[in-house]
Amino acid sequence: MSKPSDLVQGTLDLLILKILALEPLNGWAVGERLKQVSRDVLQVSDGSLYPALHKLEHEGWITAEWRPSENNRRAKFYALTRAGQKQLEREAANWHRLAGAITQVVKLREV
Amino acid sequence: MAARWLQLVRMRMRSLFRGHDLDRDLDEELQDHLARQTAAHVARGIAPNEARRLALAALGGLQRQRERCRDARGWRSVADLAQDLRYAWRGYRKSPVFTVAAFLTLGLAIGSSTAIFSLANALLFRALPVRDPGTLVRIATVAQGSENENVSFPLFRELARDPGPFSTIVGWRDVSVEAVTVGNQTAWPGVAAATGNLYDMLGVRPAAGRLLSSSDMGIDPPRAERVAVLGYSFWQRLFHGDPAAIGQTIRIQTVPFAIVGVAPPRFTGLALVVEPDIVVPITALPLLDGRSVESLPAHTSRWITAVGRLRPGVSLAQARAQLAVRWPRLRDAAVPASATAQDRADVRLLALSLSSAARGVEPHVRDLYAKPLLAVLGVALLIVLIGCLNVAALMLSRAEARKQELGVRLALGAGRGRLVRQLLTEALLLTGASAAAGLLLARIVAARMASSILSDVIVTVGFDASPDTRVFVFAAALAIASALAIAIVPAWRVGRRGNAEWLRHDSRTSTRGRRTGKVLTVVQIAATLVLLMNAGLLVRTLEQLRSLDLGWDGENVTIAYPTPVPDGYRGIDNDVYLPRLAERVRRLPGVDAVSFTLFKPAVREGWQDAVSTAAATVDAETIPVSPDFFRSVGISVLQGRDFSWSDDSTSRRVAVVSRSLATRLFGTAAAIGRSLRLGRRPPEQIAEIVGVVSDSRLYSLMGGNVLTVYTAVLQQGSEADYKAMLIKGRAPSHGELQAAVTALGRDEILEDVTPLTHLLDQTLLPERLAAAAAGFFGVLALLVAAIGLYGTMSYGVAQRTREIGIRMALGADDRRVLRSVLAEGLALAGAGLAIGFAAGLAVVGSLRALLFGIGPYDPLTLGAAVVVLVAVAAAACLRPGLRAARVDPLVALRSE
Repeated sequence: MSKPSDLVQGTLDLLILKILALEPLNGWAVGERLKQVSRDVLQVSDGSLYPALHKLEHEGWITAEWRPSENNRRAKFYALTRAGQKQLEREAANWHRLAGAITQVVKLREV
Repeated sequence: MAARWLQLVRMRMRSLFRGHDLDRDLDEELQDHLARQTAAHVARGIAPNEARRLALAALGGLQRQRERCRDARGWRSVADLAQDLRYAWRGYRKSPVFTVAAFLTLGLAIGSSTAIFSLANALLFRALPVRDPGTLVRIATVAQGSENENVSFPLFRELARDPGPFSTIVGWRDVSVEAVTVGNQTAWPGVAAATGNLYDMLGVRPAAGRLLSSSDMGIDPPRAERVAVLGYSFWQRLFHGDPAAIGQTIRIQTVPFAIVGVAPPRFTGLALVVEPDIVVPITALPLLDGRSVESLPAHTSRWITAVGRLRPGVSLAQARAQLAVRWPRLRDAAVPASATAQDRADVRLLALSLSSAARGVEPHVRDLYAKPLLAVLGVALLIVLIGCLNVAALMLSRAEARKQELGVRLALGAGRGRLVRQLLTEALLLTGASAAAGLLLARIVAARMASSILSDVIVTVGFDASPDTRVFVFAAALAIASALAIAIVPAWRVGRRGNAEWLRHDSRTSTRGRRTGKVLTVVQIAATLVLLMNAGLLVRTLEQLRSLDLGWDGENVTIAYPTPVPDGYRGIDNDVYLPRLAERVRRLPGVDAVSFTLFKPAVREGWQDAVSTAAATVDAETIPVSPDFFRSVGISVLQGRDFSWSDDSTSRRVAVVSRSLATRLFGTAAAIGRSLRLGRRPPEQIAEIVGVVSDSRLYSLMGGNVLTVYTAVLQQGSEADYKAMLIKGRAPSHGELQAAVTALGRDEILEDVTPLTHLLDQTLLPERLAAAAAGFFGVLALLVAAIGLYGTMSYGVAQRTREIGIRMALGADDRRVLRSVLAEGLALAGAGLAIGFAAGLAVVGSLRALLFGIGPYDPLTLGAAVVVLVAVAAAACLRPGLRAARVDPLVALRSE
């Protein structure tokens, strides 16, 4: 497999929001889930994950709380807020438009 | 939406106030991640150590990850600021001597600049405290060769009839009156006459009763109600703020007016500093001179100060254009039918002038103090600069001492910008604190300076020199500018240096730091010299003014102003009264001589009038005096005689001329017995010269003119009523004098007697102020420069301890070491002096207007400034030099 392409700017936000929309998760699990659902195509470097999470929290789209996780360890769990839900819808719509447009362009038959 | 905002606010507050918690939080989260990732790797069969390493590498290093997350939050700048401040505070606490020196230097410098600025602000820049001052316009008529800019009553009437670009036009006039009585009290207030719409236009409300209104008077035809509005402080003085004052009758001279109300406190009308005690309708003014209100339109004399408020949307330029078109018609309409041909011709020569009145209409105080204030402000700003250079040099030495610490922080991942910001924060903390202290200082200083300036000018002070927003902005701007000036050099050096260089553990790499420090010292010495040159010139000016041969002697002379008791001058015959009054006072113990003069002496520029012989006309001071006047003030009679009491209203007119005037008019021929024509226009007076006296500058301190003609006080008609009394010898107490004067039943003495020298000091106040401020700043600058030089040299010696040790070990003796340190210091001083001298020469020329008796390039003064600075520089280098000479080679060499 070739080196995973860099995520389009802003796309990481969309992916995180979507994953958190399914269930609240801690940071590490977000990264794992991302690899899992994208069948390892989208590998987000751990280095970019936490800054992105903190940015989203700062924007008010997700909230964080410390909860006990398995074997009594405390972990920071992120969850989507209502503003985050709206943001997710907006970004998803944007993504569909963008993806559709790119697909159209790519499908153009070369003369 | 609201919920989102709430959350955002919560987040940001948390960032601001709980930075530490967030940091801990972040660490815990990252540790948790590492543990999980390591476990995941281990589960895939990787050795635990390797698993941990891989997890860490994926994050890109913990510290970097932390910084990135903080950046993502955007709370970084705020939190960093707090950290920088804490850090700066700790740094300052660690070096208290540096901190106190820097704080004092900057506090004094910023404080004095702010004080001067708040004074200049109040006097020169501030708008009147009335409604919408920006649309007020002074309406003036100007004529060649006349300083009078007022308008005549007929012209005011024409303007009021059709105000054109103005929505309202108001007029007023200050009047001097003999006495005012209320019940059995007598007072000598400042009276003003104003149009009824003045208060309404300025948007002021009464403190009690009502103010004048348009119904209190009419312009066309002229009509006046006899009503008066009291000034607030006059109301307090005379009625102790009792509202019962309203409705009472006040007699101005003999004319009764009904008190209708009281103006608000500090209401100075359109003037800047003088609060009028009583204001009456402007059309009532003729009543005070015993003329009728109806006579107003017949006079073409220009006596009304007129100010208009522009209609909304009309600019000053538009108003000028509109009135310029109307001017010829206006001017002609304003000439009364009864006018003489001469009046008509005079009116034709008038031009109209409109100028902004936003800052009030009182040029006198402003003109007098503008130049000295701005000069002193310049000097004060220069000292702020010197202070900044000084602190920058100290800061630089500190930065050198701290370079390892800074290097460690750089290596640990602090951004270069972050370090620069740290330096800037440190500087700002210092200058901010200095500016705050300076503002306090400014408040006190400005108030004291204002009261001493104004005590000379006015009766009732409505002037407010307290700091306003503009002053705060000035102080803040100074603080920021100084912080930038201070931080720029160390910051630049942080930016230039490579990481490795910071960490090199070696004190020998600091040559560049020392070089920068030296440059700063040189600039500082140069600036100090510029300041000293200016200050020296101003101080010398005062000295010149003091020691100037004015041709008279004010020692042991006091001046008193006899003022009439009510109705005191009824049936007065000054031929009899004045000699009796003089004799009565002269009999007081210790008094040598008593004389009168009609003009207040020791003024800046006197009254000039024409004096002619058949052959020539010259302008000369014309001063009415009594017998013994010359003796009282130390003017000697060179030829002929002094006046005598027999030179009275019934005898032949006589005059005494100054020697210069005699020479000017008659050359070497005898002046005694010749006739002079006094005055420019009829009725001139013809007087015979009976004496020649020595030249003096009693009535024109600054003027070059010593051409003076003295006339006999008794030959001036009723003007002799306005006399000032000069007492030579022991100054009598107020009580003694009052008893002697009131015994004759006509005059009394209201104010305490004043020494004539005090009058002189008052007159020279602008110069004294400039000189005192310059002297103060000069000493301050010297001190600051000395501290700076001392700091640089001490630091240099400390850095060179090892080198000095080696030299001493190789045989250099302590004297040689001392000499080398002194030589280095003096070389710096020399470079600074050379630059400063050149800069100073370029600057001092602008002081010319403030100087008296010396030119701006006075070699003695400028030379003295250099010598003083060299001496101070040598003294500042001495201690570091001695310390260098005492270096023990063994200790020095072992220290590394």
